[in-house]
Amino acid sequence: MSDNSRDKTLLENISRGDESALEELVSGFQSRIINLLYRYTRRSRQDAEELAQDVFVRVWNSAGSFRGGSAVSTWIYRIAINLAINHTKKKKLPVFSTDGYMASQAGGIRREFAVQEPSQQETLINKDRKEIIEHSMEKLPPSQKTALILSRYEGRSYSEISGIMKVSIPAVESLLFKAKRKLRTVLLPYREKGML
Amino acid sequence: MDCKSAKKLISLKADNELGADRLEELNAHLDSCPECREEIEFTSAILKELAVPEVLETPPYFFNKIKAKISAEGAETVPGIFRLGFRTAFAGAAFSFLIIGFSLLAGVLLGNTYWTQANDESAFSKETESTLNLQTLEALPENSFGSLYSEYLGGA
Repeated sequence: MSDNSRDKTLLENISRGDESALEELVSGFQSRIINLLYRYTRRSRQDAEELAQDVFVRVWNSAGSFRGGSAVSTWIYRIAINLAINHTKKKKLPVFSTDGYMASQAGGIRREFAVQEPSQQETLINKDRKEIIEHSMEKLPPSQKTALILSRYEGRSYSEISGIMKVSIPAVESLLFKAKRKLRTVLLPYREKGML
Repeated sequence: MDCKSAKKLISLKADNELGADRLEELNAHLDSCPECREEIEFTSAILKELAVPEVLETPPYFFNKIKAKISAEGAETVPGIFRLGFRTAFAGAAFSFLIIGFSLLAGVLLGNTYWTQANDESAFSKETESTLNLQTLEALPENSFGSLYSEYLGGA
């Protein structure tokens, strides 16, 4: 039996209220989902764990609605990403758009330069390259960040990302292209300073 | 190939999504374009850092915490049949309405038929005569309860 067939059987049993089936499904996905959410929540272990629990609660409540149109893993990843995006919105984390404008926490719009202000740069000066790069990911719009996380951390192909995000493959291609361009723009000053 | 197209191919290459034929095209462009070579080098350096993620261990009692949340939300008290998906629930509701509608229609048609029969006096008389012979009352013995009752009714 393939992994997906086994997972589908588990979901059917979960939809009938079988807790042991849920436990088996959780043990198969927990590590991947927690780590996916960890990237999303600015490396907050607590938030990632809380959200991962919510993902499996959602799986428990919605198992009956799974139609089998995609792999079970795709369906679970989609739940995780939707919860992560909602979490970001609830926490009112600033969301940067590609044109250099940022929705502020107060809900207004103000001009934000793509390049960091000097004071912000100073706060980062002692951080290592990895942290700088991951910090810069926060400047990506949610869809670009999602695509980048799935591609780089999860090693998902464009086709898989397309299934998880419910967008076309050319759209995935475009999201990842823009994400890399944005990262490059944000990180170029660090490179010029020899920090990268 | 211009630099704009090359940059798109660089992105695809970085994600291992570039076919062999287009890779050749890109390599030919890179040989003659220092700007795109710098682009591919820097992009690779950035993505290399992202490729080595810190991996979190699964916290202890993770499943127990999920169960506790399910209990808290009351999800566990919902019987399995009520946890069916929206489409299944909708199909079930539609089927129920169909059955109810069919029953109502059948009830109205049958009711009409019997109501007509019930109001058809000739049919009623025939039915009565065939099941109850009123002439049998004529042979009642004198002063019997039946004859007295028949007199009371004014028939005899």
